[in-house]
Amino acid sequence: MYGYRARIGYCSPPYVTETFCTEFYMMVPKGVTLLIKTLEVRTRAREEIQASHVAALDAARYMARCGADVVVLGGNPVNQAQGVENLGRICAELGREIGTKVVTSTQAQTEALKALGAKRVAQVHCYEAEDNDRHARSIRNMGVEPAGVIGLGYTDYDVGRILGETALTASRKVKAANPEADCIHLASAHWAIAHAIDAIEAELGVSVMTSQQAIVWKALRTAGIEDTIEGFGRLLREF
Amino acid sequence: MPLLGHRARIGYCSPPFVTETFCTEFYMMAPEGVTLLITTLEIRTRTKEEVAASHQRSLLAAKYMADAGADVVVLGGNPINQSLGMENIACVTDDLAREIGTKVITSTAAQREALETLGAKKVAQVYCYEDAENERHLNSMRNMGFEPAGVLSAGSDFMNIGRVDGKLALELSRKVKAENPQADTIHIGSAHWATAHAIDQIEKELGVSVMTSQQAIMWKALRTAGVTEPIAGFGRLLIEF
Repeated sequence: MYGYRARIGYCSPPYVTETFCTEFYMMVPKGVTLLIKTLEVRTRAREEIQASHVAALDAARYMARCGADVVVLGGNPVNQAQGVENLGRICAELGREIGTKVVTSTQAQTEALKALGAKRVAQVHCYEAEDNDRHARSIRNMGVEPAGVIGLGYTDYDVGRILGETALTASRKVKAANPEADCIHLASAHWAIAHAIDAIEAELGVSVMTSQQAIVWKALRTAGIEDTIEGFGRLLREF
Repeated sequence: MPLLGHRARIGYCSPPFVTETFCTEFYMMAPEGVTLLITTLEIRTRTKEEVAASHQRSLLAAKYMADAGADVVVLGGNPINQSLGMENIACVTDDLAREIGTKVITSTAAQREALETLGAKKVAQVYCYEDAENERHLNSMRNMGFEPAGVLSAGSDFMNIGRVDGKLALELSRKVKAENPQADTIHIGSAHWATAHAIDQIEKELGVSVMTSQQAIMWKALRTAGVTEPIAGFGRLLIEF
């Protein structure tokens, strides 16, 4: 079968998902496949977030019965709406119930920042500037101090239309405005950034953690895939 | 660097509640600059209720995909498409396309056109599900306007199609062709089991054309979106037409 090394389940918040799948298959070694369930997020309204969590639990059960080696409950907003302090318990209980390992996007990103030794994290996200505070809070919830944040101003509908050079130009900008940053978090697993990670690390002398990269990294390592993966930053190459 | 889907962004309303193989094979086949926008639908066991709910969800997803910039939207799933009545499918897609401002096609229309393009006359079928589905698959072929020439199933339930052994598409094809030597084409049914890797070998070894559901959807979606280059490695359909 195609997923002879690992089959990774991902409960994907966007109602229509594009970039996550593209970048997943850019990164993973042969023999690793994605089982995807798209959830209910169109505008990130509170009702959509809660409906997505409920749908993700249902999908996780189904993925486990399909044979997924690990299930990722996707989406920082969806995860953190449950309370960051509850995520470990939710994963442990669900994992016991369904007989498959369960992780969340938030935990993956928290662990990725730790692995990278991040201390001061500048953020670039693709959504509107009014989401800046949410993103700064999200980083604090992951136990790291934010060091500047830029929102690129896109709606959920338009994240697939973001030009490829945007991640690099926005990273230059946030690093110039916050030179103390040792790490840049390119947030949201649903805009095109995987191709830019190596260039940003090399040019700006920082570590880069993208949501999608951290999710793939954590899912692979949890599923026992320890390969060094080149081309997508220190995280997948060194840890 | 342009956006990831700078050549074409293809929307696919994917029937399985959890989808695996379609995405894998999409990115095996798609040229650089072509991306998939996916919404997963409601099919877990293919009940009538799931089929109807899936159609409704695909109409909503198609609208969202169009707003997000998809160049073409595929309403996936022969059972879902054909539950509307073969005679109504074109009307449904035409009306929807007018409403959302993006081209709309169906899995059924893609497969029928693929068979016509390949010049198929007598089509043997293999698919991944239980034997109980044989009749449905035969009817589906007739609905597409072709005479079925034998059908074999792999016996997997819906939940386990991601576990189907990669050798099975070739093995079943050998068997169905041996039992039905008059078949000029083999249809490998369902876009959700691992078959893309086997297409070239089946065509070469058995001297037939091969149309898989996933390959036909991909072909029709690419060509509708204006991506017309030959794609090698996945059968005559994508390399010659």
